[in-house]
Amino acid sequence: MPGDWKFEERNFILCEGDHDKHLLEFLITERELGPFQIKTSHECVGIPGITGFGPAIQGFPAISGFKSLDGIAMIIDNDNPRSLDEFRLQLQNHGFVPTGSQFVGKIGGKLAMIIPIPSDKECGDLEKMCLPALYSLWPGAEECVMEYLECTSALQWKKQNQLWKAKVRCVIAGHYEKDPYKGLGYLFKDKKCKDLSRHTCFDDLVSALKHFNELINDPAF
Amino acid sequence: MIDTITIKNFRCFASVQLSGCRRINVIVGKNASGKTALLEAIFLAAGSSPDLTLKIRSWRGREVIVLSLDRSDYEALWKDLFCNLDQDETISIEFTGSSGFRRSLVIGYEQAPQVLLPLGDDISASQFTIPISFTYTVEDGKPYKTSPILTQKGLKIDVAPLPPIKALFLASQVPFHAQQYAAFFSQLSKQRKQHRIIEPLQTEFPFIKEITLETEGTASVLYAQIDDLPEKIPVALSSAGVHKLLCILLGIAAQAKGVVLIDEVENGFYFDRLPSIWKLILDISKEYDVQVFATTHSSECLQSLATAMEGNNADFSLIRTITEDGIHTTEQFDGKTLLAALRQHGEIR
Repeated sequence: MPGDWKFEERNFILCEGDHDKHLLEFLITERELGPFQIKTSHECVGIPGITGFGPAIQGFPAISGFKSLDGIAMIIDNDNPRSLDEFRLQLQNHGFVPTGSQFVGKIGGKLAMIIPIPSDKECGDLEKMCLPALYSLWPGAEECVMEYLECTSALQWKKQNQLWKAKVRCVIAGHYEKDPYKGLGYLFKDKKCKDLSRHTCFDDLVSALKHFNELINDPAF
Repeated sequence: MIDTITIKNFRCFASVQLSGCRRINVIVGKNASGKTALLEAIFLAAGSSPDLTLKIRSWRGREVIVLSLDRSDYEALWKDLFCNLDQDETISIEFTGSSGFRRSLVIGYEQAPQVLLPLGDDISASQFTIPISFTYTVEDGKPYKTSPILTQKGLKIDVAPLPPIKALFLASQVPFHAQQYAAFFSQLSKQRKQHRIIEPLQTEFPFIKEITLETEGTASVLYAQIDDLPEKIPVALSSAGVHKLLCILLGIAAQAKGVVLIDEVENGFYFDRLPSIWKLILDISKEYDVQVFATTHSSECLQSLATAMEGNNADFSLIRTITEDGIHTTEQFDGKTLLAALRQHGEIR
């Protein structure tokens, strides 16, 4: 566990894992969404994924710098139709106070916004959201990947999220000569992939972060 | 037990209110943000005599007292208690707690100071009531007012006729008063309860084989029997950590139903002792129904709290003193929030 941490920016993002963090850093920089401090739930409480969000937000108000914070965005996978409701309930048990809005509440009096990915209307996860951008790396990428996965019978897997991960892995392994083993998050740290940030598959997430920025400047909050 | 504390115009605080104080209240904050001032406010209002103001003055290193009819001299005794040194304001410190518990102290200057000068030449018998008043109020709402009187023999300070809350202040730079702790030990020993303190101390520091009360001239002194030493030695010479822990635990046991105020609690303790020391402080304060307010600057000391807090969330609160744009204020957090912050190694100082 790293040393004691504190809130250092006015805006804070809590996300599920390192890949989310790298993508968010990439998008925030390339699309100029303003400074955010980003931490994963694992970095906060040593518990990866959404399970760590509740224990993390519970302690936020007592951590130095919280008083100067404008808001907290929580980026989570919209895994299934029930996941958002379950997530909200988990947060409420740890100090999240819901408001009239489905995705906006307060933590320690600060604006807190839940941002599901790919979006609030589409179930999926980080990999599913990123696939269109990755397929754009070379012509016919999607067809090639699908053919490979058909050959290996992976297309018959029951868990869709595992299949999305497999597809991402295929693209990276075939395209990223620098290190075919690297994960999704590391791809976004490569300057050669800079143009990916403009892909429309990230527009919903970017819009949600822009909306977050609008809300923190809204006197009603 | 104190639940809320409201302070007005005291030291750096123009106005602050704490609510949700618990058994163990850990106070953090930057230098000069008001941690010690908070302890002092509690100490003064828990007592029933203005002489406590002179004690805290000396603990801050201002032992010299100049007594004279000169207004600036007598005002200097209390001037630094007033926020912004503004003596036109009134200091107010108020506690409330469960079962209607209420206690307050108001300190302020009154108009028209009077000097009583005897007729004739015998001015040696003259006395002067300093126009500062200390007004204590408890549940019955009846104010008990007292003012220091300057006489030829010195400062005469009356104690308000109301029971004080037992309070002990362990100031950070002040040596423990050997006689006081010897008396605490003796009191426990007479009740045959000294083992309640000594056994946990020995668990913490196994080289301590025995603690006894010995005499040095007319004074009683706490001595320790230590492994391998042919003779007992004064506890104060055994180890700073042993001495401090013994004093804290004896202090808690001697303030039953009262308050113990510890400035810079971590001083003197090796870091790996801190988790069990916090647990000991919690256990003994629960046993004697004592409330503890302790300041710390140490991250290790705070992280050590987490162990003692497991399953005991409700017994803890965190108070942070803050200076923002020149205004001193406080934030308070419950044990659940504090523990969650500690578990993620958040900076909470």
